[in-house]
Amino acid sequence: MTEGGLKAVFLEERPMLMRLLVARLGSREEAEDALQDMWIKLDQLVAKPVAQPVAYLYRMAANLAADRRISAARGGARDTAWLDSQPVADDLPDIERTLIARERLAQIEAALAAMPERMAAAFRMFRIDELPQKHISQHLGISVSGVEKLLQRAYRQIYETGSVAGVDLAGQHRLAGEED
Amino acid sequence: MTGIGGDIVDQAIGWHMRQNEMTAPDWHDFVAWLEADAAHAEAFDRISLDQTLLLAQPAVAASAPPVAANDIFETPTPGRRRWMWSVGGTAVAAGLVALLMPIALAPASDPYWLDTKPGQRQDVVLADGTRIEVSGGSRLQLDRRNPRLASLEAGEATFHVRHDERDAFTLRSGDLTVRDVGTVFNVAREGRRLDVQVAEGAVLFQPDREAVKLTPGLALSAREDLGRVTLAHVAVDTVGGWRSGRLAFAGEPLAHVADTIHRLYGTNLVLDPDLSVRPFTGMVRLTGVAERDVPHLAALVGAGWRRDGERWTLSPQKGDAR
Repeated sequence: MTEGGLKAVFLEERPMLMRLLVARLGSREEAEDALQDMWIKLDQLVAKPVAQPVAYLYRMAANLAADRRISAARGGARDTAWLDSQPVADDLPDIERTLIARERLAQIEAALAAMPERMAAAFRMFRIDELPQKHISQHLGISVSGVEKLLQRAYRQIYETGSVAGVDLAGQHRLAGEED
Repeated sequence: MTGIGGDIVDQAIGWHMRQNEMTAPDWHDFVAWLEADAAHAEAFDRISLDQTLLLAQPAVAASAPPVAANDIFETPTPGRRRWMWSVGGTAVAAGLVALLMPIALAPASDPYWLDTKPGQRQDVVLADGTRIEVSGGSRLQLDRRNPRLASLEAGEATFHVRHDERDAFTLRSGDLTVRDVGTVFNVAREGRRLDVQVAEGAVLFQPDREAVKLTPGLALSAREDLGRVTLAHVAVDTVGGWRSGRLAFAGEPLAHVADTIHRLYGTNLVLDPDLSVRPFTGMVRLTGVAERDVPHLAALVGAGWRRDGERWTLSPQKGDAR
C-alpha cells in the first residue's frame, strides 16, 4: 500500500472517520480539523507498506482524537488556531506542567502501586511495552483469558480511582448528542 | 461520571484494550457503539484520557515490571515504544515502531572528528563538493574515504549537499538518520534531542524506517529520550539562522537559549534558576558582542542583567512575581 493508496483509502473511509472523530471530540468543527491533520500526516508519510490500511487509518484517527482531548483537558487555554500559528508543536511535555494532569497521574500511579504485583506487571507490559496478550500470558504463566481479565480489572481500578479529578477532565467533553 | 453503569465502563475498557488489533469491521462497530449513547462516548473518553496521560509520562512508564526473565519471549522487544508524532501542534501516535540499530561504518572508512570550540565557526568542503557550515561547540564526525557520510554528535551545522541520486548523503546523529534528497538543511543536536530544518530540496528522516520526507519550511524535532517526534513549520529564511545571528525559539526554556548563545559565541551567560526554566518564544538577533547581546536579550525577556568580568548574569527583575 503506497502513500497514494493510503490516501485513496482515506477518502473512501472519510465519512466513517469523520463519525469516529465527531463521537470522540464532540464537535464537528474539531473533527474536521483532525481530519485535516490526518491528511497532512499522510502527506508526510513516504511510500511505506501498511498491511491493514483501513485499521491503520482508524488507529491514527483514534490517537489523534486522544491527543486532542488531552490538549483540551489541559485547560483549553490554547485553541487550535493558536497552536496552528505557533512554530512549536512540542505538545505533550506541557501536560506535565498542568496541575490537573499531574494530579490525575499521581492518582493513576497510586492505583498502579496499590494493585497486586501481577496485575500491575500485566498492565505495564500491555500498555507501556505494548506486548501482545499472548506474550504476557507466557511471561506470567497464565492463560490468555486470564491476562485479559487481569487487564480489565487493572483498567477498572484506574478508572475508579479518584473520580473527582476524573470529572474535571471528562467534564470538558462536549457530548456528541449536544452538537446537533 | 458516577451515573455511568459498570457494564458501559467494561465495554469501554474492552474497546480500548482491543484498539491495536481491531479490523475494519471492528472499527465500524466501535463507531456505532460510541454514537449509540453519550455515556458510551464519555466512559471511553475518560479511559482514553487516563491511558494517554500515562503513556506520555516517562517517569511512570519507566518503572520496570517486577518480573524477571524476559528471555522466554519469542521476539525480544526491549525498550519498544511508539513514537508520538505531532503535526501542527497535535500529537499523533501512529503506532510506528522506530528503533534503532547500532551504526556500522563501512570497512573502507577513515573517520575523523571535527570539533569546534564555543564561539568558533568553521566551514568545511568535502571531496564531493558538499559544504558544511559548522557552528561553535559542535562535534562532527566525517570520513576521508566516504564524503557521503557524516555524524553529528553535538552542536549544530548547516549542510549544502551536492546531490547525487545514486549515492545519497547520509547524516547520522545518535540513533537517528537523515538522508538528503538534494538539499540545504540545518541539524542541531543537544543531548538526546535532534532538530532538523529544511531550507531547500528535501531530506528523509529515518530513511529506512518511517521515511518521513521533510520539505522546505518543515522543522522536525526528535526526542530520543521520550521516543517522540514533532513536526512544525518554520520560515525558510530562518533555517540555519545561527549563521547570521538570527535565532528563533519556540517555547524553549531560557536555559536552552543561554546554552545556544554560549555555544555560538562563547558568551559566559548564567541564568538565575527561576529564570532558566521560563519558556521563551521569539526571534533574537545577536551580534556576538556580549555587551550588546546580553542587555538586548535581558530586555526581550524582561529580566535584569549584571556583569562580572566575562561572566554575565540574568536574573528576574524586582517585582516580577514569577
